[in-house]
Amino acid sequence: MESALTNATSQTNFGTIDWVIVAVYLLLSVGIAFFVKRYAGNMTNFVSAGRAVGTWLGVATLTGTEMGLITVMYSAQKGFTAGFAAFHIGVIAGIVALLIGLTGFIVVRLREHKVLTIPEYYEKRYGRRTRILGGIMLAFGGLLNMGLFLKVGAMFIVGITGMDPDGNALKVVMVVLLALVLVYTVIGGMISVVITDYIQFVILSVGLLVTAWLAVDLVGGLDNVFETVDTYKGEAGFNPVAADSSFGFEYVGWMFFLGIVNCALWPTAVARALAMESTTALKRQYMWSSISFAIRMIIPNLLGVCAFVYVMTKAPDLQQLFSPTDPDVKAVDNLYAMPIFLGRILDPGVIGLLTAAMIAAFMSTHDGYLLCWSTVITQDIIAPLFKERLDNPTRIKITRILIVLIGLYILYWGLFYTGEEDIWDYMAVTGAIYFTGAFSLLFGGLYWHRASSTGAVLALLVGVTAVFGLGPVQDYVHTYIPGSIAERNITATDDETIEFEAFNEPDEREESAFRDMVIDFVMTPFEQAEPWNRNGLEGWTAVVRGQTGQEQKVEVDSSWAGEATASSWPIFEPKAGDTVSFYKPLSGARVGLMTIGFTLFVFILGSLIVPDRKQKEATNE
Amino acid sequence: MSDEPIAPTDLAPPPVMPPPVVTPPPLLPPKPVTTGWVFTLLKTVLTVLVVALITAGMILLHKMTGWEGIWKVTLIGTCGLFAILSVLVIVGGALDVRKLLHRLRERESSSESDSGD
Repeated sequence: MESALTNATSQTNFGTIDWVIVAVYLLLSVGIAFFVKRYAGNMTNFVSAGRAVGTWLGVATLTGTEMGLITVMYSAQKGFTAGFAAFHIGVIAGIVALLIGLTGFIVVRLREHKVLTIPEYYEKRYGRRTRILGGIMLAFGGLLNMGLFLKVGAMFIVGITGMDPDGNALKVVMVVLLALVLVYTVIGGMISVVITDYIQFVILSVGLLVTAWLAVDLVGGLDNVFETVDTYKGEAGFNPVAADSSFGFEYVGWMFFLGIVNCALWPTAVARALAMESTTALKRQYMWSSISFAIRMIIPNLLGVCAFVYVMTKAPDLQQLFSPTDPDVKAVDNLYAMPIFLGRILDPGVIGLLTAAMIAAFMSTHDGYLLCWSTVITQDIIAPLFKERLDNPTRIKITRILIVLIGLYILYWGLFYTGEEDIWDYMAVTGAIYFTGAFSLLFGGLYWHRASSTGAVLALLVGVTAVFGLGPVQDYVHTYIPGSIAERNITATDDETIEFEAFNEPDEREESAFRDMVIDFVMTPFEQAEPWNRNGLEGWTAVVRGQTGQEQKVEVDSSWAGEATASSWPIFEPKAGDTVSFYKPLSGARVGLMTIGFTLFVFILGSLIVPDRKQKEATNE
Repeated sequence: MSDEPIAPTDLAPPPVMPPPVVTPPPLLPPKPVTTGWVFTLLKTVLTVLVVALITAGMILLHKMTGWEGIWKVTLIGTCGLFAILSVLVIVGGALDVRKLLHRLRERESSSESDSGD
């Protein structure tokens, strides 16, 4: 019997003509890789296109890389769940990119050093060991970050073409997409990446604008979209800092920092900056790209909002799929909402063009990322370990092998990762493993003469703590999260309610202004429950461990001093004798902001306490 | 013992050091006001003005129409700008691709050494 999801995806308008359009586009991309193969003979050409990229081509390649299918998917997901309030992410990204273009913050100074990668700069400023450690952190964070790209891209293709999402279609699409990207990245390096990025920009920009227009028109016009969002989401659908919004000030602040990261710290964007022919062209590239940085999120947000309007007003079957009224029915992953919506409303031919545009977006991101991470591993980890004895042909060969290995890894990770956070939040947290440390090293190294290698190493190591923002990691270490409640025995159960030894309100402590101040400061990010009060554990996560060692987690709906109720138990019915513990998950934004503060603190402290014996010049050597 | 007073060894007043002559730093000639300098200044003032005007406009719009108005203007504005950018990039990018291939061909023929590594 086919599932509701298979039934939903099968109602697409995708036809033969659309397959032809997609096939022609793919052949064109691979053909270009073969055409430019002869120029990719040395490492500078392979990695930086010979540092000969002009402004407009720079804008195209920066946009092509940063506007991937993954971006379209996660932004649509944010639009679907949060409405127009999600627009703030794109607006902030655009403003920050413009400011960086105007000031040249970090990127211009980095370009003046004529380095190929960020860790190469680390070596110039902090020494070889920092370069290797920085390269490892960069590769670790970057590869985790890229882990879900392939799966999410394949979900789009499956959703829009009407393949069976419950069968092997997802896996087959993942393999085919990966093979295509690997072929032309391995063959042509950055030159083919830059040129295909240009073609992809052409298809993508036209495709996105036309699709946005059609999507709004087919759900009843812009006014209807605004009215429907107002009806179903209220103020939270527009105001990102509304009391019941899923964002809040903390999230908005986090987005500002991510804006800087996306432009000035993220290696794939910085690689484009380092490939520019001059610093003037570089600044111009960023100023113009600020529009792309905003639009790459705003248009997909809009598509997600339109999908939400369509689901709520025109497709009752999809409404039951994505927001089931029965609490025992699990909602389908809302990443599928936008592709299913587009597959139903667009005509044949238009869907083919859109799919080609999205595959273009997918490929332009993957090629850039594959090339970037493999280059980092070759240039910043392997080559320094061999004390630079590797010649050019060997380096290119190693980079090509690494591209294939990274491709296989993302295939594996996409199939087995079990986290449930929004894709955008997953990416922000995994990226933070690298960029929280990198921000200190680059900002400090380029603008503060006292920055030292000890501070740099400490900052890089502390950046790893960002990994605690991931759901599965928090599940694993939840008992160590400050404020969490240790395991206690379940004494009785009644349907969805578990009973346990009651919590008692603690006696009032003797007041100590100093102690309270220190504890308040340290504990501010961690919520403290008052479980003895009614609903003191509402919204907290209960982890129930069975006597056989089986474990499940659920959100607490209501609670009282000695009992807690959930809407349903997803894995097993708890029994007396099982144990339960409680914790409040930390948001990715909070963990990210805490990590930034922590890395900056140890960087400054380490640099002041252990300065370098010989100050390294922050100039091109 | 003689009653003669012991003559002071140093009757002369201590020499007074003349105040150090502070030579004023040589006056640098004022920077000439070039066309480029005026242009940069005008550009900066204009940028600040445009940013201030947009901010003021957004605040006014928020007061009049709330978040709905802000997002409508943002959507239409960014889509319009992106359409213009797309045209510029499509035309300019094609020329840049030609230039890039030309340069790479030149380098290939002169077999320039790989200075990046």
